[in-house]
Amino acid sequence: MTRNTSRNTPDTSKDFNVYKRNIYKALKDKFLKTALQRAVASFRQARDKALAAFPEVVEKRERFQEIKDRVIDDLEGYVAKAREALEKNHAHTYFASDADKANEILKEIIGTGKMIVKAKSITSEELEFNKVMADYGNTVYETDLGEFIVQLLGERPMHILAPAVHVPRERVAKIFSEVAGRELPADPKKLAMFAREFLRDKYFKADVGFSGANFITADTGTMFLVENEGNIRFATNAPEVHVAVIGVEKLMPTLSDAMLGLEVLMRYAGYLTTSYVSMISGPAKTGDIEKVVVYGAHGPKELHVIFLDNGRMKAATDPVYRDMLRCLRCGACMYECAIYPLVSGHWGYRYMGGIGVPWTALVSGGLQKAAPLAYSCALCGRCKEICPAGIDSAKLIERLRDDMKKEGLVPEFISQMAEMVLETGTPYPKEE
Amino acid sequence: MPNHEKLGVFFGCTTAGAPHLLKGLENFLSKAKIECVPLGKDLCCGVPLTLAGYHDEAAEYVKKVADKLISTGITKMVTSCPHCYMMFKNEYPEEFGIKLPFKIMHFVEFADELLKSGRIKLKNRKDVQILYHDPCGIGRRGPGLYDEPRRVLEACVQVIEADRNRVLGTCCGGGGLLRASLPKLAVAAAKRKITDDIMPKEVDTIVTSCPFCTLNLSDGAAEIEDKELNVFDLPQFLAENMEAS
Repeated sequence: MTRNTSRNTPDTSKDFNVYKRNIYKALKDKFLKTALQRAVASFRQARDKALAAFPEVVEKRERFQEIKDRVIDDLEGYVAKAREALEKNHAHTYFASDADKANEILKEIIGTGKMIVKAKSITSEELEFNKVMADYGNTVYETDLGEFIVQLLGERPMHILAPAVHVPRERVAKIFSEVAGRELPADPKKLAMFAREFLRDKYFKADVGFSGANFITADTGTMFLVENEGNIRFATNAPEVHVAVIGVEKLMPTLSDAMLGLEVLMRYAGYLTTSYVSMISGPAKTGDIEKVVVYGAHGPKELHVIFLDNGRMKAATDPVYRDMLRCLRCGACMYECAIYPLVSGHWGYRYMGGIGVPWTALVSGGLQKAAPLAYSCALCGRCKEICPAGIDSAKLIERLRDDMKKEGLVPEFISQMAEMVLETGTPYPKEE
Repeated sequence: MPNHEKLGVFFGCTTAGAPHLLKGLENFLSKAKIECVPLGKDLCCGVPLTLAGYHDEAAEYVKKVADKLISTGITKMVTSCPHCYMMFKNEYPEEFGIKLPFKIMHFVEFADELLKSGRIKLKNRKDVQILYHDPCGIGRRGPGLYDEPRRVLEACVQVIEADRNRVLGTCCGGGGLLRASLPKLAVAAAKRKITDDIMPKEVDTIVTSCPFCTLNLSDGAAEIEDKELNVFDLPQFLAENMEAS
């Protein structure tokens, strides 16, 4: 592993100290503690209920893992198949080897002076989409309620499913009141209604709708977008142009494989079902007038799909790291972790928690950014038991620590401890 | 004990470094009249090296440790620390190609054997409720030694189960070098585990089988203001609850 790294132990120690201060500050944050406590309790209840109602999902998750492993064995082949299918459906497809390439393509497609409505997408965090688009003269509206809150606060998402998991209602009321120019009560219902009212006309004024995807099938080029709020349906349907950036690991061989993945995702994320699943395979079209095909009947006239590599293909070739590509982003591992609920996304960069450590190292951030994160895990292995994809994050993190050692990125006090073992035969300082 | 058997007890640096844990294990051994070669009081198994990615350096180091252990002529070695246990049992042969020529057991297996064979007798304290915390090292990250400690404890007290236990037991936060890298985070995890996760109101004692879990849970318990909690490592707890043999 040599991506984005430099041999510099002092810097690593400095990074670690900054990180440590931030983590210790987060530990004292009472709002965070309350918000996470509530979130974990309701998640556990919801998931127990979902798994009890659909016990066969336990067997389905094994099938899902086998299918995903097949895809990871041949990402290039599956990308090619999906692109072919999408092009047949009159979508435009692209392949971006890294974040910069993806941003170049996006600038080309979207242009400048445009309004963009955006569905929640962590993949877009890899691109720093909002910032890149703003700098290029575009206006971006996050439409997922949690992301909308985080965007208004000028913060970053703290959980992959619930980006504003760390924000209590009082803070939401404060920032929404500023936007509204009137006093709004700290009532979740009233606050959600304000967001609804504020965002509604944006969908129709926007030039471009932007999304990621939960799955995309190689046989039909169908992307699956799973949600509850209904914002993704608006954002991907109302504007004339829909642009999607999809990590290559989201590929599934067939429609029915993706259905299986969908079931596993929903139940492990704690839902009996979600309110909406959108399946999009091409631009809107009609042939109702004399069988002449016209694109852009009611939905978008154009669909652009960018497949993003950004380190994934390389990870796929490694016998240990490849498992991280199975991740469904259900968030279960974070809620059930012994560490994450104490500090939320402060343990993370763009990807968070234990699984976020290899994603930070190999996809978004680099090994140096991941070094302090790798030393925030107790390596207990519980997430493997919880994960529908069976990812053993502890094993991946141990492997990362090996790579960090090779690159000279071990935090100083850890290297001191190791030196002490080698010299004295014990990691503890001897008492005089 | 069969005549040809020569038992070693590997205390491990963490147990040896905490006076109350060291004393607990020593008391257990003397009360149970166990003859053994005491090992590892001043000798780390090498697990901090592998956890920090020092594999090349560790290769040479563990060879020296193995030579020392082999030179004692022991036929069986008991470790009280799950990290040492997994290191000797798995990492030594699999990663470093060193097959130790003696049987390796964790203390929970050893105590279970001693109880079965009648070599130790525990006091009847069935009025006492304790909660058993599963260490990950001998649990899901190891061979799944869930029944052994429970069998031993049930011979003495009532064992209460946490909401999530065994393979799904919540981590105490004490492993993976976290107590070294971010000690406050490690202790906060222990506190959260006790307050949010496991502790039925009426229980005031936690027993576990790992020095890291014991130390970390004790530190976590100390931060809980409205409750007096006792945390014991299994050897310590048994030493206090054994009939004189």
